[in-house]
Amino acid sequence: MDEKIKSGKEILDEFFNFTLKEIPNVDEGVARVLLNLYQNNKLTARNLSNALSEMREEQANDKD
Amino acid sequence: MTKIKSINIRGLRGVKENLPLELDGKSILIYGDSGSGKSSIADALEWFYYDRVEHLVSEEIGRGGIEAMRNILLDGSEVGSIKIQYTTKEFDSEKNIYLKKDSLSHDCSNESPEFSAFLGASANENLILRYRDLVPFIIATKKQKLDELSKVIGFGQVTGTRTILKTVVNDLKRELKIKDFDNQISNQQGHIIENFGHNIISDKQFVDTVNRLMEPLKPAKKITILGEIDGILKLIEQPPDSKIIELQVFYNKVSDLASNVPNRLEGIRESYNGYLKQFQDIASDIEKIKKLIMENLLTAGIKVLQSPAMVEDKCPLCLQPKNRSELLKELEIRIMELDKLRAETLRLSEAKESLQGEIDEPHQLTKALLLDEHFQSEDNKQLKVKAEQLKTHFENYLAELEIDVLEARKLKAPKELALDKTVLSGMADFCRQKGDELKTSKTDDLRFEVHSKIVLSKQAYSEIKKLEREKELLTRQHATLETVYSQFVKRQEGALKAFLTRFSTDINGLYQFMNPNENVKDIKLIPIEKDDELAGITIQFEFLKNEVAPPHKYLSESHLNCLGIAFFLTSVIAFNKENKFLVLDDVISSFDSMHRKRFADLLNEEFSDYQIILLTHEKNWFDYVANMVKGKDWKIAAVKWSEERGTYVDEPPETIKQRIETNIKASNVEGLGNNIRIYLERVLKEIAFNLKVKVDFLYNDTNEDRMSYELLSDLKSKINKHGTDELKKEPVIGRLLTSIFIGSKGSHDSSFDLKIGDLKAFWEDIKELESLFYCDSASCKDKCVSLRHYDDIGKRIRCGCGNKAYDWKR
Repeated sequence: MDEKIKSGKEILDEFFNFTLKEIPNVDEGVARVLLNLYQNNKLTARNLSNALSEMREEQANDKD
Repeated sequence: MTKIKSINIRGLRGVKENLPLELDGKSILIYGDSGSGKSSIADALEWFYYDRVEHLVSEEIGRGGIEAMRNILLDGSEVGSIKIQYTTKEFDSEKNIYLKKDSLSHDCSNESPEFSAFLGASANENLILRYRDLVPFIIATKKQKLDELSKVIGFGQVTGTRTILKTVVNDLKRELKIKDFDNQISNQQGHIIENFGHNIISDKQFVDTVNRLMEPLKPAKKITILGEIDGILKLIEQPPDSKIIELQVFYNKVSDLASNVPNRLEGIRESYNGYLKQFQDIASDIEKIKKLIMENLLTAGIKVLQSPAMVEDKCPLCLQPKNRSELLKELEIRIMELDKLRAETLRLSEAKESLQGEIDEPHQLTKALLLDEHFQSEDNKQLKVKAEQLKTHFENYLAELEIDVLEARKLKAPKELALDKTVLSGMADFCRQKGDELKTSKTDDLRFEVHSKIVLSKQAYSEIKKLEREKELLTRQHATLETVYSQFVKRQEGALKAFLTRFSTDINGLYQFMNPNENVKDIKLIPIEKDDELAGITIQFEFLKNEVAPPHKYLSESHLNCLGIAFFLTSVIAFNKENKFLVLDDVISSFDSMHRKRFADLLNEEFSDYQIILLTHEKNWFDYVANMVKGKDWKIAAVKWSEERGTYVDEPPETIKQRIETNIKASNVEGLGNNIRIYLERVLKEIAFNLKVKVDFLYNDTNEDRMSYELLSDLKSKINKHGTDELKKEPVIGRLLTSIFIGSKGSHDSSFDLKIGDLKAFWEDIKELESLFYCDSASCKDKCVSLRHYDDIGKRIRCGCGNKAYDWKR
């Protein structure tokens, strides 16, 4: 049975490294932020919120 | 996967002297009476692998039970240790615990990265099962079951990530709600409609409207783009008009703030309620507060010790001598033990930070607005008072957030912080009234009217564009995160479902093996959801053809224990990837005889490829298993306890003899004297038994603990009384009586400097004693000379084959 069950880490690796890219209608920038935080072991609610907020600010300024 | 070649325990828990287990990767069945200290083996292994012993953890026994690991009878300088040799040689290691400046320290001989990785991976494996661990999972709450399984599977991180995603999805949703873009946009549109008479949906429409408004003033040219508006306004502006228009802009801004703030305040109030609850949960629990205070002290202690200025080996607080690095390690362990509470305070601090962020934006906006010079005018004095009340309202919240949970203060109730309802409505009414007054004062001034309408509408239009962009970006992020979250949940639930299905099948299989043809069928672990969240796991099964749960409502203790064992063994199969062994410590204590037998059969038939260390105090079960594994390459041993030696393995003499010969060959004196003494005691006991040597009466087990000197003396008396010169004149018994202290010194008196030569001579004497009383013929089935084979005619004592015989008077 051990061969067929994925560990928690395997589930996370698979999701962030592969599944995330394939989900339709996902903003590329947000996906990049998520992957980056996960790979650097910094995925917390606070870090994600801050990163998204910075991203919005940059995008708003770009448009201006 | 690795198995264990040998274990040697010394000075840990009940074990005082060496307790060697030579396993060679094979399973072992160990018998020991209650109180013999056999659980010391499981404790030592648990400490080796997990750096803690769960059943010893208590307030009295600190540091994860480690303080109870070192045998209490050891001298100050003696080291407690467990040495394990594996079938994978690079993992061989010895873990020691010792006193260093009156404080317990421990270290490990193997510092290789391979061993470290092995130990790290092993920390998540299920290696040891005790009787007391059997039922907790089965009777745990649904949530505890979920937490426990999540931990076992490593789903904790997955659940944590799911929570993070959900938190951020909710934060974004909340921000969208709080910012209430539609309301803000609608306010701005209101300004446009008020000035232009209709809404504006495009730049071109805005430009056309401006040109139409300008027509009566007959401008020299028309504008074609928004960027040209400022140029055309310059043509019609008059300094006094500009001041009035500035004032109109000011009143619009204040009015916008008063319209937008209510939604923000509602969000702040909700968040504050949540924060208050978390705060009170901690603040009202004195034990939590004490622990937090200690954590602060311990954390501060670490900072102090890490400072380059602190080079002395002493505790900076009590100034007692203490190794600095050991002290650091101790502090880190104690902080780790506060993990759960730290998670709680972390959540509180996150809630605080999030609430501060929520308050910060409208607070800063209000503060910035209050800097506007128009507030200084006497006309706006009343408006200023209200705006300051709003600012103070935000600051009151912020002041509550500054209160440390460790202070013995209560936070204010939301009611005490509420803002007077008339503040915001008063601000809006005031601005509306002033705006109307300004308009009325310039009713007949077309130039002013056009100028004012264009400026106010342009400002509103630009604000709308900004708000729309902000809304678009936030909505896009929210939609993305929501999609990601829902996909993540699907993956997590799919993986959990796959796991639970497989896991249930195996648990059911193992349970049915132990309980065939009974009324419990189809045992399943079922996930439970509540509010779109995985809330727990329950154990469901078919009982008398009905689906029922939970097990402890329907099953007997024996059956519950079977379920516990099935769960443990299923976890072993599923998750142990490094270690191919398991320790079962007295797990069948409450089993009836049928379940005991079935459990033994289960191990024998389904787990034969595992190395099993099976400890029991049940003599009948021991005999049953011993008989069952006969010829199946299992080792069998018994452990005993004596005051002098602590817990020790009652090994067969051949094993001890082999070890003595190996150590003599290698000139290794460590434990050699002790082994020789044990061996001599065994030999003497057998000789004394066969020759009916009489010793003093002792009760029960103490009767077994005969010392060599006593046995030798009484054997000599017996020979003198019944033997002839052939035996009486043998010098070896006399030699042993004088040299027997070597074995004693070697085992108990560390001040005596043992030489390998002394031990060799001592050993040679013992072998001579053996050759005197034991037949050396390979075919002899009863080698020891015995009164059982007494030759009544020849009046001789003999071995089984008769080759070894001496004259003996009855």
